[in-house]
Amino acid sequence: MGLLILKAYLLFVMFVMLLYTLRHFLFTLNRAFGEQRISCHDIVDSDLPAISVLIPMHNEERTVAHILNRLISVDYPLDRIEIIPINDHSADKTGEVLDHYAAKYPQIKPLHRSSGERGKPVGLNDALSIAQGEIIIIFDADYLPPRGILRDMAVCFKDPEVGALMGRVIPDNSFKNLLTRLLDLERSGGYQVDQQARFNLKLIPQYGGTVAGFRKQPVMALGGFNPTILAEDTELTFKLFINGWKVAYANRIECYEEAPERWDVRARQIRRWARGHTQVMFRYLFPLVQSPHLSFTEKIDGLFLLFVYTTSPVLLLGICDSFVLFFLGEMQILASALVFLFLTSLNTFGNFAPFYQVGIASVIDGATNRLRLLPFLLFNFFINMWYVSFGFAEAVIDLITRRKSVWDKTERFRSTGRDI
Amino acid sequence: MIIPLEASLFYFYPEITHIMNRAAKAALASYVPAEEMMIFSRSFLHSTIYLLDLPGKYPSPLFSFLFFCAAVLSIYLVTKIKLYRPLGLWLIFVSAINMLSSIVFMLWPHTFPYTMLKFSELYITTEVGMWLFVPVVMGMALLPVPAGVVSKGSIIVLSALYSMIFGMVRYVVFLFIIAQLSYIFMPVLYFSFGPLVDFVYIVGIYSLYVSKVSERITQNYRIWKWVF
Repeated sequence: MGLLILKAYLLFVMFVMLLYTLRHFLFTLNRAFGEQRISCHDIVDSDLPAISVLIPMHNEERTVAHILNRLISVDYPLDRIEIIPINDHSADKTGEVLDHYAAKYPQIKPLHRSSGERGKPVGLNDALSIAQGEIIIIFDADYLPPRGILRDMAVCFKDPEVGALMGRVIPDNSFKNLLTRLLDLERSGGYQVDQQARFNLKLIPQYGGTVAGFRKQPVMALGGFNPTILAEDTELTFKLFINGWKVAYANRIECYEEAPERWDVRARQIRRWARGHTQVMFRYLFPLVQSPHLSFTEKIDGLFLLFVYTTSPVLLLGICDSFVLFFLGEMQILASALVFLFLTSLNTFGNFAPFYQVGIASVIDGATNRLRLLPFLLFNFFINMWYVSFGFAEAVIDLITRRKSVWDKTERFRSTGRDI
Repeated sequence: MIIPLEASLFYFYPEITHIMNRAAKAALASYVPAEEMMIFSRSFLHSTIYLLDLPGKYPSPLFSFLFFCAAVLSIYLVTKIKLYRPLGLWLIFVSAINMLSSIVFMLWPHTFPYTMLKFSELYITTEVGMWLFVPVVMGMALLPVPAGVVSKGSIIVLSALYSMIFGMVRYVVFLFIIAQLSYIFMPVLYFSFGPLVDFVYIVGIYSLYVSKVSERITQNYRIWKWVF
């Protein structure tokens, strides 16, 4: 009986991996051959909405001046914009720099938080309560928004169905080392193909929490952000879809970010993502299935999206399972299947972007040299499988013990003196 | 393109496994007496596969213990030394397999379920699976790549050939290591340097080819002018 369970589990893992392989293959085909859907960002309209740009910050003295310099020079009417940097319990000079900018530019209105809980969702909730704009735009502090980005983003909300919008994230430090180059590949596959294909196919493009925007009114009506969830972006995606709103993806709204330059920082980041995403899965699985506002295909894609971080622990257990079967001498029949297990596990090569998806994304980007690094995504395979499994386990413990999760901010690497 | 290739692989795999075992037998002849090596056959899928049997070697209890200590020590060192993290995780993966293997040989050596013939069977069935999957995976991956059918077909055939030659060379190396150094190395060879390594060359061949395609089309202004 035990042996049967072990064999059945291995076949189950292969089935799960096959489903994800087919899903990403479909996305890749759609991006290569399908009709491409574009957001409204090409519309030129002088009637622009009032916007509030929120920038969550915790010890961001290395990056704060860069993003503020960019935002004060955007081409958005000054009477329709406010910039709210959220200084969230910073212990460095972030607050001083913000006050210096606020004194010079009236559109910058810092929100200093030195008491209460720390974390992005709590900070955003506080900022939402004082924000005047009808559209909220979010940038993480390490981002470098180009001049026309706010106009492009705001105009997308002319579509009344759009509750939230996501732009494309591109690392600006990809030249630094192998890790940043691999993350550049990964991001490329995730945005250029995955997000665009999901938008094309009217599935569930994801609101990513930065280079992103949403309508203030519906988000406030839905209760803002849940402070106990580490992936506030994934939570908002599902909250909006379940309540009848759509998330638009605009591939040409590009913004540069700083990718982690060390593996330990990357490991912590992906562990936090996995934990937060799994928390969202536990909370939104049934509401997703029961929602009357979603089509059948949206529900299926939503399920794939909710379970995506579950694939790593499932695969890790599958590998352990195959060890046991090997030592029991039961691998012969499953030997060919094991090949397939490894082949389909390529899904996890680039944070759930299989190599062919990353390949096509790089071809579309014209990134010839970057493509040659594809085999090195094997490094990501091990890192992802291990740390995503950790994050998943933490989320399960969170669920059982009802403990509170603490926000672990991603370390920055940019030098303050760097000319941006 | 894929269907005829798959059909020929399906038709010829018995012959390929036969060649593979003859080559292995010839290559190992300097280390193992020829009369102790025999090629067997058994049915697999719709036809026959050929397998090589040769004398295997169990590790001594002392060797198993030392192997266990080395595996534990390497896990300890990897967690203590500041090592390139992906490499560290890979070493932990390899050492964990070695640790499991040494525990089996220290405590229950006679429960180890493989002989050289059974390992040969495991390896050959895995390889046949790999040969059949490689063209499908490459075909799927290359389908959306903007290049001609002939050039894509050549890459698929090249990958299939590489898979066979690589599989053959690796087979000889695995048999040599296990026969000369003992069964204790079998798990780590199979799990760390087996099918997992095949992905690296599959992805490697794909990436080199697609980067060439990308290089060619980025130089063609007519294709990209709509961007500007």
